[in-house]
Amino acid sequence: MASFDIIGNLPIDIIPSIVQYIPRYTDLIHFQRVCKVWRYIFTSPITYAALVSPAPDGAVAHTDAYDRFRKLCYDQHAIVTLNLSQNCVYKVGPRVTNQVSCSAYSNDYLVLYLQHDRRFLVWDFTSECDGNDDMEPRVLDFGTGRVTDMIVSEQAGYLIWQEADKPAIFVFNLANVFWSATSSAASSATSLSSQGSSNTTSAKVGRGIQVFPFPQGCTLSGLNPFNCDGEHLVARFGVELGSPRKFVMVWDLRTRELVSKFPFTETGLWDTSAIFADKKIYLFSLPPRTEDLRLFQFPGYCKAYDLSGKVISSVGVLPGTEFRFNKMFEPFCQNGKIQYLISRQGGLHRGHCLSAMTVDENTGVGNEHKFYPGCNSMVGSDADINETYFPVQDCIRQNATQCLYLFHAIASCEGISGEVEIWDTTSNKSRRYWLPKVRAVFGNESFFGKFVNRDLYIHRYSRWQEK
Amino acid sequence: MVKLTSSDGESFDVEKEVAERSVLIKNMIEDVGDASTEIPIPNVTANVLKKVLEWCEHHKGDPILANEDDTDARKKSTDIDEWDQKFMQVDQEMLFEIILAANYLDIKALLEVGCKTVANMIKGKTPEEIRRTFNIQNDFTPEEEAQIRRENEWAEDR
Repeated sequence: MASFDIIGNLPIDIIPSIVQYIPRYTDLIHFQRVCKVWRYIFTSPITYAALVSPAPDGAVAHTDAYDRFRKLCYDQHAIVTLNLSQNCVYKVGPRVTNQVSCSAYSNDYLVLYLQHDRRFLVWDFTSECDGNDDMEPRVLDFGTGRVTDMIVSEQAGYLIWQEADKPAIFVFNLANVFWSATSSAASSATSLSSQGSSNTTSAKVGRGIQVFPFPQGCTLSGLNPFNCDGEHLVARFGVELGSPRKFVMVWDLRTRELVSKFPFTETGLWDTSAIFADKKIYLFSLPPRTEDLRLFQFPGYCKAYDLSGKVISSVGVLPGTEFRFNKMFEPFCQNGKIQYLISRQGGLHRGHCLSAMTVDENTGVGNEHKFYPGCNSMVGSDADINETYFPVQDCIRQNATQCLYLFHAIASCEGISGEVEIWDTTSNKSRRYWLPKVRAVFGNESFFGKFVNRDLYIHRYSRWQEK
Repeated sequence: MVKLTSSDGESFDVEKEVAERSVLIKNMIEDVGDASTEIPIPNVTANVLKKVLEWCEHHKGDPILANEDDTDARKKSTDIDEWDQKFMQVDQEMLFEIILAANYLDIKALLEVGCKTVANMIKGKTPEEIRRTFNIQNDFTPEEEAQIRRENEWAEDR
């Protein structure tokens, strides 16, 4: 067959008709390297203007504009948003490098820690955000070591973290950085963005860090081991040397005085997670794990404590069988009730489904909902999926609308593709959105997301590897 | 029957139903009001027009894709039915000409098949593989290529 540069010779207005059948945006990026004509074609406004229309049912959603996507792809790691109202995907501003080792987010803030630079990048979502802006992060350069765990408290915007080999909890009020969520702050944000933080920033925020030393001989215990509501800091500790004894400490954030200290662990139980809301401390415990870490034979339970350590209520929860708890296990408090989102996965290279379970605190009844990649979501179905998956997932929720937002990635021979599944629990309908292919770094990728207004912010990164 | 004349003067007598696979020709017939009038196709050579008419003949009973079907078409995969696959097994210049002709004659389904064929030829390929496929010279300087690579580092997974 005689060779002929079909693409290079076609009128450019026909190119979109071809490009629409190229599912991988990374291909479109590669095409720019073929020759100068191809580079012109695949960076032309005509080409990407044709890509703005998403599929009507959201089954395959493209970016709303190719130019935004090009910017996105220029950065190895980026924040991507899924605009629900426009049914499309785009980015807000890539400022993330492959150094990200830890992340946290709340309704107001998104924080990433760049371990190599020892910096926190902070996005303020309380400021104006229409999805079309590149949101510049603030850079806080007061990280001093390897951050092993961090959260941003929902209630008061406190960044709380732990650093390896430092027996202390560090607390910083992000409001000290975003002292004004107005346009004046926005201009400051630019000057403090990823090019490097100013001396003013370091000095200012540096003074705002509070340090709460660990109790002697103790270390933080369980998932989500600390939290604060702007008035109190709560942290769970375990006694060293394998003792099952665990306790909670509560500090007054303003005076740094210890308010209370009380034990909470039942012997033989595995404490998994806790939250701090409405001046109550909710601790969730599960029966011991079996050898394969999958079977939970007995119901777990949740106890709610007041700040003094007094048990207010205790409820049983039924996590079901064959649950594998991981970082997806996320408790949250809604309408005064503690609930949980739990993921279940089948494991590597085998049938996989993603489950979300909400557990009612009062009744202990869990409603499980399964999501099967590659087909429409089904509730309570046991359909077998024989495709090969490497699930990388995160779970995002939006309390106000009772929707569950699940993000997971699926590996295939072509790499990992990201998918967002949105399930409206009211209508019991779900929609799926595909995100651009991401480079496959099995077992080393992480995803998370949050909602701001009706935009879903999905971030992906590769964990920084300590050498 | 409808008489079509290619850009190089060759005439083709085709059934009206076949010719009307082309929205352009269909409109021209309606404008002229007389199907027996010879219709010039100035942008399509005889060998290409012959090929296009072969496709129209085979698909004369198919429903014609309307504009509103565009989004539906976009959802489709790049699968091409067997007959169309064989039909598109032509040299690359002919494929190029068929796409141009389909675009000019406004035959959406044929344009779709042509575009899918090209898409299948390039998707998943590296720039070097594409250059080999289409005999394209790499006219970037090493510096320019390095710059593009840096810009597109995110996508460099192969």
